[in-house]
Amino acid sequence: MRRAAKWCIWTALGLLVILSIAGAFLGPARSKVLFNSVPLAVFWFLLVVLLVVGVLAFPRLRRSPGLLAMHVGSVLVLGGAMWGSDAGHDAAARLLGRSKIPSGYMLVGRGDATDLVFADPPDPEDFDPSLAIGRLPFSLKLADLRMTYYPLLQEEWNLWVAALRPARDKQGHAVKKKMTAYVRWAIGKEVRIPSTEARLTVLQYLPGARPVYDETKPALEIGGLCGTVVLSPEVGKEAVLPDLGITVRITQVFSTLRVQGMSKAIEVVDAGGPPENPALKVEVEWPDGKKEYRYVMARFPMHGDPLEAIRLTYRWPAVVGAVADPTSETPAMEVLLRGGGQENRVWLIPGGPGEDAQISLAPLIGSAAEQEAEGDTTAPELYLAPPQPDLKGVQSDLEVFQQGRLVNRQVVEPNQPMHFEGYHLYQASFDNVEEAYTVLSVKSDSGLWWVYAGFILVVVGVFWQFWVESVLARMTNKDAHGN
Amino acid sequence: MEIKFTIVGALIYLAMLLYLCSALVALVRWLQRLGAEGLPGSTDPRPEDRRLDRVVKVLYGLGFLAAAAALILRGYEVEHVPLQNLFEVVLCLGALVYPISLFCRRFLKVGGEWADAVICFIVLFPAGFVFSEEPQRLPPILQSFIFIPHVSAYMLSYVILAKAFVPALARLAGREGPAEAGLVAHELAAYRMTMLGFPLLTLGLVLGAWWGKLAWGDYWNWDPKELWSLVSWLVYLGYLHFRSMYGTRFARASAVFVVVGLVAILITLSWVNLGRMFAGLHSYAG
Repeated sequence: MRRAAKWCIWTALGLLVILSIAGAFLGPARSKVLFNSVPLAVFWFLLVVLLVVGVLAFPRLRRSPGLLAMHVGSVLVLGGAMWGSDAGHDAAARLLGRSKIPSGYMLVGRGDATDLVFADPPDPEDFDPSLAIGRLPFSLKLADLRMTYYPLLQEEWNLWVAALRPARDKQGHAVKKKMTAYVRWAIGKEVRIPSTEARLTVLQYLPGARPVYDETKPALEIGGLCGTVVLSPEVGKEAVLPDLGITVRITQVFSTLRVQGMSKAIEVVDAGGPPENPALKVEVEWPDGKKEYRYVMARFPMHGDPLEAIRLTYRWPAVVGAVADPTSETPAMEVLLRGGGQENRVWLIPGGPGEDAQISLAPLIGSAAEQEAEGDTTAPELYLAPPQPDLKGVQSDLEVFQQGRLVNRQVVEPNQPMHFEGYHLYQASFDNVEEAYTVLSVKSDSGLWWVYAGFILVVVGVFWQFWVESVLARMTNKDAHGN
Repeated sequence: MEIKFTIVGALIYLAMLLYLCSALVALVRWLQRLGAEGLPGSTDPRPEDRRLDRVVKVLYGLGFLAAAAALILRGYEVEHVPLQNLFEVVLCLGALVYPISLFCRRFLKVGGEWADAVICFIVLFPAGFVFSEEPQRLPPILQSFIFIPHVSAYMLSYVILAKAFVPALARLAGREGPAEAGLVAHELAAYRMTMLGFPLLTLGLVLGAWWGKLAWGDYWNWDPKELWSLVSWLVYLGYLHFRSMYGTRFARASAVFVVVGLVAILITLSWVNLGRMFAGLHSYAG
């Protein structure tokens, strides 16, 4: 029996080592599936049995407090982990009728309290309650979301390169993923632009600057069948295209058009200030009296549904450079771009109208045919962005309700989960723009206290066995030698 | 390759130089001893040999002072305990080995300071030439009271188990030791070092699991780094079982466990830095 137990120990240890190495290559997601599979469940169960048999078969394990604690601790860790696993929850539901959600995510907002749990973090832009996998025995409401940041380490804006690259989503479908990378720049130093063959040299950086435009006047261009009609951008101005019988009328002028709110309640507003996103709201009246509205933006000419028969373009003066302006909070950068046998000298002016805020590197990299095959959107772009302060902390201040009554109020932050009614709730992600919601990860605490008790026993046992016993043995030895 | 033109950098290079010199003088001394082994009456070291022994110790001690100064200065500069990224971790390791050497010689009768100086040099090399010393702020997930105990327990255990590796390798090469009078044989030295290091390795693993539960919601996430740390733990666990079952009967086989254990530790330490494809939850440690 003891001989067999020894062989079992070597087999179990060897198998666990091999499986762990295999798991390290598989990655966390697939590894979790492997270690939770049915054959492995049998393995874990046999390992628990082996540990129990070992304690029974080898009297030394029972006589030595350290060894006993380590082995009993291991049994508790494995047993608790099995009880707390998804399969353990299934078994508990079937055998004991205890229905508990093993794990999931919650989207908690400032509005109504919620008890819905989802398998994946819910998308706040497209929230669908029907995807919920279950309900908690309590509801949560976000009372406050607090974020703290470290002070900025630098004043200069960061120069970024962004590109859409082929990637695979969770389901393995081919998708285009936006990749961004820093360009580590210094004035006068030529550097390679990450993920491209192009190189750039920053010629000058103005910490506060305003753009300088050419002499063109802003205008709405309406391209019809017979030429183009031009309107000056003022509310009420209108033009009739006689050949088509269409009337185009300007109903609103935006200095900076912004879209606010979520998908179901979006609102278009004029944020005012310098013309960061100049746009026009245009009414198009067809010969049959039917009216349609379009937003025409100077910076994003491709935006919005195209109209049949006519083409609307909001022309803005072109940027020809920038000048230092101490009152401005945005910088400007002049760069020299080299690549594909070409050389371009351009200004990067964030927030300014026109095409100047970002520069497409399409002409500098690869052949025209390649770009066409990939589509325009895959060509990398350069842009300036303000340095983001590093997040120091985030706190979700939550109100807990049961039967509609406020029963608790607790703060959840990274490393400090909330524990309530058999569940732990963790800070998973949050809305750092409007502070309207927080995403919490939900975990059942089944088996957890057994695992913790096992951890304590293993650690106490191992220190007792290898440290305390050695010191005690040394002291006893000294005593025996007459010290 | 990144050369550091800072005071911390200069102290690291100085410490590396001193550790290296200490190890080289020890090598010369060892070769001398090897040559004298066959000669009669060679047990008492000559006065010049004793001088060399002292030089080894003084250089090693000076190396420790330089590394400790670099570590303290680093902590002062970044305003937190310097254990956040691998640069700080290896710097701390480079200063920790010396006190461990003293402890092992005094209480466990395990020598091998020359090897410790080599360990220090190897450990400090990435601090000097590979990792950036750019100060980083702690992201919320790293702001935990378990952070320092978790990393410290692991670092201490890694240094101690690296120290176990040296006599194990010597035993594997057929040498029984001890190299000096008053010290224990290689087999026992490896066992004592493992006994010292294994509880810390266990503590590091368990603290990591506890922290994982508090930070990520799971005490075990099947992350590659976690799995490799489990492999290291299992190898030493296997060694302790083997040693307990067979005693000193199969000394070479025992030594294999200790050697393989260190290989697993090295993979654990470097895994997330081997390539982005393996990056998991521990990738901020890179």
